Amino acid sequence: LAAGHVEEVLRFARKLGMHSDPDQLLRALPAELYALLDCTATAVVHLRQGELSFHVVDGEGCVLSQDPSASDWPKEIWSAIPEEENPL
Amino acid sequence: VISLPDGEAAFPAAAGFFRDCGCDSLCVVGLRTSVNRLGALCVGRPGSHAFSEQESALLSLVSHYAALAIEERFNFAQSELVRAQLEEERTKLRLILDLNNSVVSNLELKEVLQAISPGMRKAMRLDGVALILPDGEGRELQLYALDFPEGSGPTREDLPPSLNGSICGRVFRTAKPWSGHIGQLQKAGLDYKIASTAGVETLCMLPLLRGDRVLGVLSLVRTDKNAFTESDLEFLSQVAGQIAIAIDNALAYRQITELKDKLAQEKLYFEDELSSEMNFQEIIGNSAVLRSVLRQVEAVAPTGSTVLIHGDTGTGKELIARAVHNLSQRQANPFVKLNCAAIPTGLLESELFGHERGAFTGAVAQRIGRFELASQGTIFLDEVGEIPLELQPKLLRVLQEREFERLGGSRTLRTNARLIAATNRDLRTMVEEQTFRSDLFYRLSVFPIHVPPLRERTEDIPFLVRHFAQYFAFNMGKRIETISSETMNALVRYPWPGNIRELQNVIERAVILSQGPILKVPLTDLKARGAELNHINGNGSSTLEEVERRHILSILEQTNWVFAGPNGAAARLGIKRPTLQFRMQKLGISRPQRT
Repeated sequence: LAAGHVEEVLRFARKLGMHSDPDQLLRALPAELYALLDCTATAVVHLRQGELSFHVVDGEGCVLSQDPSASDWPKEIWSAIPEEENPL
Repeated sequence: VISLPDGEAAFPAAAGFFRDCGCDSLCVVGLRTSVNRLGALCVGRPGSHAFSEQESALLSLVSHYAALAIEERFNFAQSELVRAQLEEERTKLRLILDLNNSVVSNLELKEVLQAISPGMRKAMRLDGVALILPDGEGRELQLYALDFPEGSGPTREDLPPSLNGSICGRVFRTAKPWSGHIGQLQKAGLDYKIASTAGVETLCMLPLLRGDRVLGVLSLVRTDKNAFTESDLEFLSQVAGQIAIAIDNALAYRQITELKDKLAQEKLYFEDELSSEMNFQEIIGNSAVLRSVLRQVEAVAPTGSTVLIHGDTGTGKELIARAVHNLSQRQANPFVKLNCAAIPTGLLESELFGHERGAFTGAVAQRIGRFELASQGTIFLDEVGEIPLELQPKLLRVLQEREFERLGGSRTLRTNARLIAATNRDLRTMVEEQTFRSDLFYRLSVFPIHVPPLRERTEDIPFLVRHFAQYFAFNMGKRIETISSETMNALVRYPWPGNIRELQNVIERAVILSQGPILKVPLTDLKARGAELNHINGNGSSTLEEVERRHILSILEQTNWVFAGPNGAAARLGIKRPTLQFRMQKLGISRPQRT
């Protein structure tokens, strides 16, 4: 990692520590990712008790979609996650 | 890392979604810990191949942090949930323990409910707890105890829920629990108004079961619409089971206490009877008037009707009452007597009907009354004319309804005691003077028996004299064999204003004074008293018949009961012998038997 990235990762980790409620953490995670990387959209897909949920924010931090039945894309993402710990 | 135009075939939905967000490249990393796959992080950018290896590595690193944080939060939340559940379980177990402790340490049911109700309300988020029990005969339900601190409206303990038209009644009859909202009661046509005005929204009714008996209903209410869950019902059923044990214990305790009190009262009463009365069970005499009275006793005894015995003081009204009792089917049950004139007015109600603890100053314990004591037996109210007017309606209610309440109590008790009343006063005159209720008088005088004074049954006097002489002689360890005819004549002639009681006392005194086998009656005292009475009567209070009777008796005594001859009684009275005999028969004068 570049030296600047280490600082960003530490700041990211501290930010995560501020959220004690798991749902609150999941909702905050896309925005924290957005602050970490220069990007247009960030999303978190999460599986809980067999149900997929997701949170997406755009480049301005606005929530884009919360309705899991609106799209099949979270399922595609989930099915693409391999058992191994390698990025796609 | 997916270049969206290229990845459209593999991920059409994801490619479409993120392209709509203005992205051409997507970097996806898994959210996983060493044991769990939690999800994925996705970051999109415009431009194809927009993510460097370094950025991919950075995203992989933060995904590890994020996954750990997410799992830790979920684990913590889960552990908190389990901890709360354990805490709830512990609270419930503590409640059951408290309940058990209350059940074994309190035999008063209200105290049990008061002890456990606040904890139960808190643990089960209840607003009110009530205990509904049947009355003594199971005909009505009563709100026995209530803990509803925030309740509004008619939330009083004296409200009787109906056995038929209420959900309480249904649970009690069917032994099946019920829970639901107040609207369901309304739809089912059950009584809901009391609950509604009290602000109740949700109810739970549990039968209090002990074996196959339903002892009552435990009512639990909430003023919000939170329904009772299966878990709530399961726990509350356990609570109801413990309360049922408490009720069973309390009812047994109450029964034992009442029996103990009754036995103590009976013991006191019978000890009192033994020490104060000689308990003559026999009625002595053979006169026509006495036989007439005894025929009436035989007629009324088996019927169970109320009897009013009228007669002068000392004529033996109590013996007549005992005879009625002994000849009835109640003879094996108590004969309880109460002299209404001997009890202070303020205490008479308590004596008759009993009192609850704290009913008045000094009422430190519950006490059962004579009507309870005489249950299944006979109650004999002597001097019934002395009962104060304000108490007479209660006596009338017992006679008519067979119901009464203890002083200071709200529980209605029933009695089937037979009433025999006695008086030496003219109740009819008292009714006219409005000192005795006419309805009570008519209720009492279902079967009146008049006990004649001793002066109207002089032929019984020798029998009574002999009976008392033998009785006292036996008790004093003396031997009385004879009574002189002079003494007997004097006793027969004496008018006995105190009737048999006076005769009894005179003979007791005579036995004490007698040194040998001959009864020595202090005739001087008797004659002096007789003369005094004659003087009093002569001054205007005697009837013509009494004056005639006394005069004939006096002449007969002077002539030594010789009727005929120039010095006989008939000649001295200036009438013929048959006329004298006719007058004697009419006036009940008979020659005393010689001893």
